[in-house]
Amino acid sequence: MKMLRLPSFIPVLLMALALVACAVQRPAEAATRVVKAQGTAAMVGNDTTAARKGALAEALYDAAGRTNMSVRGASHLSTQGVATEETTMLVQGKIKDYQVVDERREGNRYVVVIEALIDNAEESCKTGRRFDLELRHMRVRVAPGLSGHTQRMADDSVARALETMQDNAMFRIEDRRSLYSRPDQSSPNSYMSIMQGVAPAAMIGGYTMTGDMVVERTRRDNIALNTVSIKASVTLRLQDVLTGQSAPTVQKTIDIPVKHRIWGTDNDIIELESVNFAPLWEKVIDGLEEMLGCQPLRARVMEVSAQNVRLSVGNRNGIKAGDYFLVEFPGQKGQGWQLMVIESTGNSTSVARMMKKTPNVPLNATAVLMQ
Amino acid sequence: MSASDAPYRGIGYATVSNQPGKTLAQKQLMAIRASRLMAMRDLAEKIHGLNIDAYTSVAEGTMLNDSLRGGVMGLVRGARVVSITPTRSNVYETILEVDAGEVSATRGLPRAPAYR
Repeated sequence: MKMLRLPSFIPVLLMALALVACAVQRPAEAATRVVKAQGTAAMVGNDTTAARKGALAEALYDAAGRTNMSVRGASHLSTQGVATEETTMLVQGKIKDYQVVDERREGNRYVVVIEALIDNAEESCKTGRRFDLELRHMRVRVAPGLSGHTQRMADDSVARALETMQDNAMFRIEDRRSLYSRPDQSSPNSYMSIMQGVAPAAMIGGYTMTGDMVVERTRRDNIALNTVSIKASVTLRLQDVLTGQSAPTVQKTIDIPVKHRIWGTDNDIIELESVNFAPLWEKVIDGLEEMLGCQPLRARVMEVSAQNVRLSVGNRNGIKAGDYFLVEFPGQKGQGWQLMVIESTGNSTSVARMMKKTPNVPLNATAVLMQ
Repeated sequence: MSASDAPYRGIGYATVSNQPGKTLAQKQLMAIRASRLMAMRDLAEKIHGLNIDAYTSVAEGTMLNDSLRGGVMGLVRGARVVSITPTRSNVYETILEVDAGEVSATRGLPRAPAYR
């Protein structure tokens, strides 16, 4: 039998495409937290260097153990009185950075205390906060041949869905479609805002959102029936305001059978007089919640004075006193992050205090809410 | 704090004298580590439960053998050390704690990977 041989570059091309797809779909970043860990090592003679190394390794082990620790234990007891017991522990944790906050000698031991920045697994990254979404453009396209009634239902479904989404636990949507006439428009139309009395203030955090709703008619035939359906799909594209990074696209589709005709007859069995798009939007809301669930809530540093900073998120984002925000400074070993604790909150801003003396947080830095 | 919000607590003990090490300090540190491991196991049992496997054989009305095996396997996440104290001269006690919220998140995760 003759085998079909593919050109040699095809597997390489497919692998490259797969890698690109993985890179595009990678979530922005998992939730991060700071843990304080302590390590102790025995002093042998006066060898402080070796003891310090040992204590530091213990502290890192301790910090990593806060993320994930698999424990397996087995015991065996029999009438012969033989009892065996074995416990093993596997530590799995990813430390992004650490700094030694204290080290001292205590008698014949050496103690090292560190603060480590660790990544949480993605399964537990839900922060329970509300994201700001700015809807800039939503295009509704209905295929030619469908009734004007379907067009109106589609338009109405967008308005109704927006009302529902404004009251969502995970995000709040600001409808600014009137200020943006094109999906790729970067700044709002000033004249529209003047006419409507809406200040075109740029959103400081959260995501901008543009979308398409497409409604078309499909037909499926089988041996007994010809089925005509309305196929509706919604695609939402989100972009992070602070970083410009694209979030994963939310795309949902439903297929609604409208009428059936038994093969060979002229009689239609009408299933629906009018189309209801509410189930489609429920799927879209679920998709948005699922996608945003693991995105970190970001804020911009708007003001810096001494050890206090003003952040661009507040009560409306679910921020409360005692929450922690992190600002990272990649490449500065040992000074790689600053931690801030929220002290007071307003509706759309909050004031936080820096917890370490250095490094200083610059204006316009991006802060990420921590768990 | 309601009962369901109470943190999970695990306690472990280990003796010093039978630990490996050249000096007393090394043995003490090994005992601390062993007691911590036992506390972690105690926590894992409380979070994931203990799998009991018992086998008893009886022949002609007489019990021949009775064997009991207990096993636990699971993830523990976010455990913090509450205390490490020498309870008696030769024994170390370690107490660990995990928040109830962390436990409910851990329970939803897939099983721990098998390892040796």
